[in-house]
Amino acid sequence: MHPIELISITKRFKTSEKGEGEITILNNIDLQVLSGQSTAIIGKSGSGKSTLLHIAGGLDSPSEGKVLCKGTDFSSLDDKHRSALRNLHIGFIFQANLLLEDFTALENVMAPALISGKKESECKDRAVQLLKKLGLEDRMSHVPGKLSGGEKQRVAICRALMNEPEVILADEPTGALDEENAAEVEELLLNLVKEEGRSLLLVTHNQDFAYKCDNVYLLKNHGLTKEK
Amino acid sequence: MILVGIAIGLIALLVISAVMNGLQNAQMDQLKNLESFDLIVVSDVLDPDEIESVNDVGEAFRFIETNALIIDETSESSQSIRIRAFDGDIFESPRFSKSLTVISGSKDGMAGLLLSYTTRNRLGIKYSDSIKMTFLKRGKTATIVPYSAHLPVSGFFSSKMSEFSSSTAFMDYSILSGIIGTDESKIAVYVSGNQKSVVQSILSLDPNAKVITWQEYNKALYSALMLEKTLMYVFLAFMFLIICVNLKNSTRRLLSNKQKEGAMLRALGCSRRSVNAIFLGQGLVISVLGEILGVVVGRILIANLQNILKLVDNVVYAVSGSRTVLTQIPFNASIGAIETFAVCLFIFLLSLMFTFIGCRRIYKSEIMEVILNASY
Repeated sequence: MHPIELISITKRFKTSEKGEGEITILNNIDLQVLSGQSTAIIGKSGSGKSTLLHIAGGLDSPSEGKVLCKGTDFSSLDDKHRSALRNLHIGFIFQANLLLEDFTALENVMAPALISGKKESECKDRAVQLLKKLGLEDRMSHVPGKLSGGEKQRVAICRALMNEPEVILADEPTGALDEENAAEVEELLLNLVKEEGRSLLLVTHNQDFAYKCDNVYLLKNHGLTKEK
Repeated sequence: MILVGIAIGLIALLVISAVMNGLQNAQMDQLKNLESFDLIVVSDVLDPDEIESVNDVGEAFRFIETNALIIDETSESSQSIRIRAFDGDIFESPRFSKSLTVISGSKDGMAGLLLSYTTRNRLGIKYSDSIKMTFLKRGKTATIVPYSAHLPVSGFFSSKMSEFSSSTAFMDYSILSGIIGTDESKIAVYVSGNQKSVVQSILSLDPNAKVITWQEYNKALYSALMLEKTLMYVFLAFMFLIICVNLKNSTRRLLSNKQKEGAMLRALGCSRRSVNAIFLGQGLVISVLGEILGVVVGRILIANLQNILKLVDNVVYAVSGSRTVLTQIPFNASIGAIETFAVCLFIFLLSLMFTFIGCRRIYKSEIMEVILNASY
């Protein structure tokens, strides 16, 4: 059973609010995110990479096709159960520093575990452990506004790992970082796959980063082709 | 920011309501203290002592009144006036003396007429001038006949009701009753508690008594005051509308941030309902805290309004050299618990409505769209 499997995914968007016309972004896509492997999706801007990632994570619904997370079809679940499945099995990392601005780094990292109903003390221990591991022990009590871009992204990685998900979905995780920080984040993510046996589905413009992954797909003309 | 907005809106509404209430209450108090009393009882059997024995009755005084034409024999100027005479020392009554002050001369053993300063100025009357009074009294053959009497001016009074002052004079009860008799005597009643129960108690003592409440006595003015109060609420409704627009705009500004937070929480595994509950909870807490702040600050402002007005008056005087009318109108700003609660409830419902509308937008927003918008 794959951590995430996309079966015949098609995504169309309406071209106007009245729904008069439609545009196809993804057409009949099949993809398996393999356990303990890293998978990268590359493609031009606007090709639908982020849309595909969001569909894979259950943040968006496909127009046609199925998304299986640990064998469970997202579309068969109601919002509550889909959210719970996402909370436990998927960790997200976004390009923009999507951290809760009023919360400290520690609280941001604790959030997914608190949402899943774990005890606060338990969550805190795990969050501290993760932040220490990623070299953020001095930044725990800082709010995102006081952190650098690289630090914010490392906090986001800690948050993604908080519930020990099987799969990490990363949308341009190095897109907003300078070269040094980008290299650091790349290494961290790839190590997660190697050392902890997690799966990584990555969307990136960065060809070098993509080709460090086990599998590389090119999203072009609404379809996926395997490059590596 | 929204919390402060709610608090300021609430403060404005409470203070304006309190000032309007204060002005109306001041006017009604003057009316009840001098003009109509709380109740006027016309009874052939009851006397003031019996009425004073009724629960919730503060004081009661028998009085007679008549209309007369007064002519100052020195200046020969004239004016029609209502003359009231009380059996008992109403001038010592706390409520009466609160609204009327004898400025010169004496009300003790009023051998003459006690006129207002307004009348004195209008007719050019001096202390101990002789006043000729002409009025109608019951005759032996005709029903009423003209009658004249000459009395000196025994003193002058002033009151906070200019209409009352310009139309009323006082004289000794025994002298006036000697002239016009006591057939039409009435009893003025100051009520210290529940007016309705006092009316019922008086009617139980004398079912034939006629009891006129201050509302009935001042029917025209009371209706006008009620109209004024209604208009005040219309005016406040406009203020509510302005506050509504402000709240809506503040909520909208906050919404874009909250949408991002909401999308983030959803991506982390919160369900739509949980996100909605979090933001509704936040909205509730902000509303309640804003209301607490508004009520506390509003109450402090209302309690110290006279001092604040004096301060403003002094500042205006220091800047412009002229006084404002702010401190010249005597009133005690006040707002009752029910009115405070009603205003709070309205603001609370209003803020809750906008929070709810905002939450609905967050509820309906697509995570992917919000996250993509935040990324670019």
